[in-house]
Amino acid sequence: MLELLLAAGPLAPALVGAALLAWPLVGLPWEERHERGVARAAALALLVTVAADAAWVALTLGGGPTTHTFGRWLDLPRVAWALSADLPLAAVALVLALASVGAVRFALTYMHREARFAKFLGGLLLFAGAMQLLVLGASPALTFLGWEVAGGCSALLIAYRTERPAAVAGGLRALITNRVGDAAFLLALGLWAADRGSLDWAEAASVAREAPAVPFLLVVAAAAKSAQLPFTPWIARAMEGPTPSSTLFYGAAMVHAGLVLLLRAEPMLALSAGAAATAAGLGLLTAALAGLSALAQPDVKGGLVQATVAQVGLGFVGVALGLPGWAALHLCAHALVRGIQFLLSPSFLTDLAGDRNTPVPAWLAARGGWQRAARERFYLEALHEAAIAAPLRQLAAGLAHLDDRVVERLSGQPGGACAQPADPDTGAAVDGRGFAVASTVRVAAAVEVIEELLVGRFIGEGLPRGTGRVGATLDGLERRLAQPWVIAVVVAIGIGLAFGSTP
Amino acid sequence: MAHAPHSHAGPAADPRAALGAAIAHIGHLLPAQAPIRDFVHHNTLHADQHRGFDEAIAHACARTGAAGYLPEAAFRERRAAGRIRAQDLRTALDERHGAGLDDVLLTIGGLPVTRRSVWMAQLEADLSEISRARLDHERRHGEAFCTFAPGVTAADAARLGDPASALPALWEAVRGVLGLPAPDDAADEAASAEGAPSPQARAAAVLADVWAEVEAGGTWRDLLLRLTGEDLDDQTTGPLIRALSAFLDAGLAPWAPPERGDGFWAAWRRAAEADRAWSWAALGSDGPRIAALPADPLDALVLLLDAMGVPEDQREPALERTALRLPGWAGMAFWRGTHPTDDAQGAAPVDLAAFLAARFALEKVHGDALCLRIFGVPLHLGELARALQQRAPVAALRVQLHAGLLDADLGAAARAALAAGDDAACAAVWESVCARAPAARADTPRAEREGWSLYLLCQLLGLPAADVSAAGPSAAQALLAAMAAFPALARQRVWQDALEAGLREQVLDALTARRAAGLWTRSARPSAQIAFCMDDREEGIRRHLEAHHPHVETFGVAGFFGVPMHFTGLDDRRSFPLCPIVVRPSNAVREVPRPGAEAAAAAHAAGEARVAAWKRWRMGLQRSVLSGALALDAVGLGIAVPFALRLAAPRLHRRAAEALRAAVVPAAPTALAVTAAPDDTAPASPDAPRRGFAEGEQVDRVAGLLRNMGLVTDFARLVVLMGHGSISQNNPHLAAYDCGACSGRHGGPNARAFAAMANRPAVRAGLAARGIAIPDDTHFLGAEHNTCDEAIDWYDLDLLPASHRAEHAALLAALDDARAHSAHERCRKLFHAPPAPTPQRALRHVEARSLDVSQPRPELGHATNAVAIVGRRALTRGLFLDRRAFLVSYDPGVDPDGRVLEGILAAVGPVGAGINLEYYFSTVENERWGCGSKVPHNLVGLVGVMEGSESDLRTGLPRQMIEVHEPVRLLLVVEATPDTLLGIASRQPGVLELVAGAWVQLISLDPATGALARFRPGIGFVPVDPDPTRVPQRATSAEWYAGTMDFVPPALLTPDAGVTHA
Repeated sequence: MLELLLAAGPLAPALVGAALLAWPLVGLPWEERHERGVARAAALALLVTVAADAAWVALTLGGGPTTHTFGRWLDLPRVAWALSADLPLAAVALVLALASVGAVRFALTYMHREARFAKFLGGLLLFAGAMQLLVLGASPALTFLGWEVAGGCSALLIAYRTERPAAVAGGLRALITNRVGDAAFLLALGLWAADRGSLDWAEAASVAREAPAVPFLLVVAAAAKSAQLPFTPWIARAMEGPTPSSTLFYGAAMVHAGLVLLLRAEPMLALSAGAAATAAGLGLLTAALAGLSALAQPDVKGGLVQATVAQVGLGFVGVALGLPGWAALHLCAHALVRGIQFLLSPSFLTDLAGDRNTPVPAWLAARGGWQRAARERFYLEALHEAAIAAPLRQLAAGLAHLDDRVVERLSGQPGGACAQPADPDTGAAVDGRGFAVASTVRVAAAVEVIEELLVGRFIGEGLPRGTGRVGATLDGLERRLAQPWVIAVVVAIGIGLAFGSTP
Repeated sequence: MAHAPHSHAGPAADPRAALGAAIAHIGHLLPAQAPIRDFVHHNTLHADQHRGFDEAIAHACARTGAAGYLPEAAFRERRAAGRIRAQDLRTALDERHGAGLDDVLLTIGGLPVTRRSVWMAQLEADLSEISRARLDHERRHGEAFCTFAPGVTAADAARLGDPASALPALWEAVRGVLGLPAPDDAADEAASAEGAPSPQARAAAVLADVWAEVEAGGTWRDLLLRLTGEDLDDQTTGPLIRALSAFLDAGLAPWAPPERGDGFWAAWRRAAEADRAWSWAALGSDGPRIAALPADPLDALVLLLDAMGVPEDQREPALERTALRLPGWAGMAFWRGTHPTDDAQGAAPVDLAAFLAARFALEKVHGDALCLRIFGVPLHLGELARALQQRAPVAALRVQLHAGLLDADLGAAARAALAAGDDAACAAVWESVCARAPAARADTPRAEREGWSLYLLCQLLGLPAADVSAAGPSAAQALLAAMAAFPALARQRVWQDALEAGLREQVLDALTARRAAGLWTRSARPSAQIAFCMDDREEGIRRHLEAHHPHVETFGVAGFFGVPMHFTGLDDRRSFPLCPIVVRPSNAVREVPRPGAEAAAAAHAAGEARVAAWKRWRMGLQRSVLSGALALDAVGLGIAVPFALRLAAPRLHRRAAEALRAAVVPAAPTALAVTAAPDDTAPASPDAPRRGFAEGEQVDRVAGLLRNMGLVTDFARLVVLMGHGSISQNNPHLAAYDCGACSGRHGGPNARAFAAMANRPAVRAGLAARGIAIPDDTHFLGAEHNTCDEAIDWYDLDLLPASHRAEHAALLAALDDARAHSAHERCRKLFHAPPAPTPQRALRHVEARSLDVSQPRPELGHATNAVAIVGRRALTRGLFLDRRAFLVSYDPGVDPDGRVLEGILAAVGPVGAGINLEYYFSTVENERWGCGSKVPHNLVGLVGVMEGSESDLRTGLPRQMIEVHEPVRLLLVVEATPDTLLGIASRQPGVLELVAGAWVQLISLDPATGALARFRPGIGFVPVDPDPTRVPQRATSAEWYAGTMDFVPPALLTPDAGVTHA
């Protein structure tokens, strides 16, 4: 019974969330009255999670770390379906669950009659489940699974208002920046598996001794997810989402995911002075710069999110200094208070004592140049653009040229100027060779039939436009994911895993 | 780059002065919304109010591209739902286009076709063009060729025959008479390719099209977007919004930019010079270049426009279109510039010229970079035009590529050729483009346009294929011409009239039925008289109060109770004007401790200071790092407990919070200092307001209001002035729910001030001298109704004589009843309300709702407003008006010469129409005239809301406030003869503008006979013939509104009569 409850903790909200996200696939129209059903399902699922987390706290209160294994997942390397926690992590899981309850309860009223109500609540709930897995997963592989799903939900809900280009761009930016952290995480997993032949947080200390690169990579991953320097800019653009998702993702939960990772990896940091110093340095620098930025933002959410990042930076310092208990406490207190501040951000006018906010001290107030730099968030976005994005684009353009000249010819794709167009009905007139081209033509023809039957008849012309937009977004995403460094990293990880699985 | 020579003192008109005048004009086209704390409803199209409703919309649409009426699809939904009836459409069509409607245009197959039949078909069904793809789909798989179009009547269907064969035949017939080529016929394209223009000529034509379109309504940003696919806005709006929002910030950020005193333009130039982001964006030399611009923004604009090569006659359009690209921010810059006394403006002056100068400087810098990179010339319209013409095929290829018009393979080829910078290759691709898709001539009929429209029209007219073919091409052209003569805008006007006609008929019927059933008369001395605000939201509670407690009499007046004043509450730091926005008060009133309560007041002030310190500490927790961290770790987890309580049990949380507050801030008895010092005899004026009111002013104010509402005799022992406000949580648009007659604030202080004055013996004596004898046993009380949670706060109850306490207790009980029933009526329209609640349960729901931090719809505000009735309450007492009517009490019996009415209309007209029109425009196009959904809103600079992290400042009403609104112009019914009304209109230009411009619909209700006449602009008053028998009768309101969330028509409430319904 207990085992079942513990397993259901992350699963229940994730399943409800996934079902809601899949709703459009069922083809049933969304009606207002469904909102009540969603409210009941969400309440039930989160009740299960809170109960499971309360059980974790009770289990860890008396003794030390506790692990529950539910089954085997992979053998190459060895990964089990298992959850584990010590008291700080159990407390963190419980607090995150409670924050999810608050945000979901808020959203159920706040998002009433929004066209994408189901998508929004689905995203919140799936995210809540993913965060539970991220905190409680006994294996770094499970942590990574939660990590990825949470990141996906985050991008999805930043880009909630797909009709607004800034929102889509903000979601994409979050996703891309986080890919750097994800890549570091994956690489760490590869090295870990290569070293141990298994993935289990319990063996963190020995990994740190045998594969000293792992803790560094985990610090990079943590910094990206928690928007620490040098990755901070994405989070300012993440404020495009509706208030409840800003709350849960960037006030209460996801912004702390990096800190949770450091809490898990704390035994490694204790053994790796370099990694600990890196974490402390990044955290301290972030706390200073984001803290100053927070003071100068003229909008409510912009100020809150900079202050959030600064507090998470302090948490990084805490873990690096060997104070995981304090960091966990700080995380819990911060998640709750910040979440509340985000939810109440529309109240700012009435919360003010008097006509205006309390100004900063005079010595700071007078420094115009500093103020400007702080308001512009220390020009990190421009720096990112100049130092990372532009060179990468050039590299990508070069490789694309190579693609055009060499790879396309080898693969037999039709190209070149003014080639004859293909006839989708017969596929016969296509001047191309190779399996890829032929199969693409067949798929395209099938899709056209579906579109004719479904789209034209039932949905009208809204969907093609919408899918066109989605297509353009995905296209952009694909182009970025196909960048050479991503491929290089994935290949490297593949090699790492391959070596790791050799006994 | 070289700036064009700057001819400052040319012989022609001074360009700088011309620009200044242009900017002053442009400012009025922008949203006029004040900083959000001071939100006041106003006509969104105020700048065009002099033109009249339809003309103003046409102008605004041409300028902004936004709609001024609901989309036709929305009207058709209402038609399908029965909100618009066929006879309403016919009436509207007759009134607009009466002459010649029934002329027979032509006879087809023996069937006469009139203009009316064609136009009704256009209204009833969507006959507009469809996409080529949709037509292809319909022809292959769709239903449009096997079932009749929606709207085809049974009779027409019978004439047409079996749809499976009749429809394809009809399509062929239409194709035949229009001369459309067969769709699968390859000759279609080949034929039109004959005599096609050369690629060079076609490229020139493409460019000319682009240029003409941009000149007709775009900016160079639009031009460059079409030519390069790159959006200049991506680079210019972000930096401008960040700089401007920080500059305008009236106290949101703890750390504001210093040195704001010398204005936005100076500060922005300084910042641009120093800003590192410029150099990182590879624009290293631009900081100094911007710093070298003149210190005066107008001079800088002249210089920039010269440098961009904008001809003199294009300057104002260029400025206007650029300002309208960020209307919210530009409007706020203009608002601040035109309110020099505003505190924030004093600290950080900004005006529209400075905003535009910064915007143009950014566009010039980034536009130069873009144009130099792609075309090799700077952003100068003349040079750009020359550069484009020299390489027309390349430019045309770019246009078609970025418009997404090229097939995939041609697109790839075009991209490669453009990237390589190979002009010859580009020209080759362009030739392929021209060869593959010959230019379609705009004037030839097309299947998806003329063909489709005619095909549907023939179905709706019941014209079978044979008749269509027989009638031939000339008949087809005649039908198409008739359709073209009734374009979308004309149709929307007819739809709008029809929507209003239905409601008008129902209301006028109901007023007549009320009169026919006998008007209420004051037979005995009422137990209490309550003056509510005229607000539509008070209609419900008044109706329930009178229905359950017939001995209570209610009135409706503008909620500042005729007491315009600057008011400073005990805990306020500054004063606020409490009166309609058009009035500037000449008196100032402070709330002060009662004499003898100085100690309590000191304790209260100390408590307030403690609360303020706590709020500051809590606010500091939001953004400070180190102190924030320490505080978090100490108390962070504890803060979650009260919040959880607030989410889960809001009423319990409020009780606890109130108890805590009462313990920290002891109450202090206060009074309003309404009476001026006896020696203060200088005349009061808006520029030098008097502290308090002089004796004579008090008598004027009290007498004025009593005469306005027709209460000069038969005073009850209790007369209550009921101001109102709305309290909700987490709501930046709070002011939009408050009293429109108090400039978007609460009207309680006005009610309290009025009562205090009216209770003074000196004032009573003065009133008696003017013929208003108030009995000594009449006591005035001030109160405030919270329209969100239905609570009522009372003022100065401790001064109520002991002899009146029992009556007050009885009145409280009656009001409790009315509050609960009012809540019950409101709950029927609220999604999160419990289903079928008892009145008490409903009251608990609205209380919890107003405390719910997650509730974006705390109440529906004015979303029901549609009607204003100026006249005796007897005209409407016992009528169910669905909370849709502003009710203004006015007794023509005490106003023989119409002077009182003139004053009422001059004040009520603009307030009522302002609210109504703000709701109208925010509803018909919420994204443009309103501010969209509240969900992504982000408060900025204490001036307004943005979407997400950076966007235009959003003005108007959020979607959550208007989604149930039915956009109709205010139906203003006045109990006065047409002659009286015409006289008033001739003396009051503000009223005349609203009525003659059709911004409101004016109805005269004859006080003596009850005859109704409707004012039609350009025609005058025309009699209305209502039918009272159509009005349903019900015993109670609840019985009539039960079971639906939609609007329900007016009904006559006859408690003793049984239920009848005609």
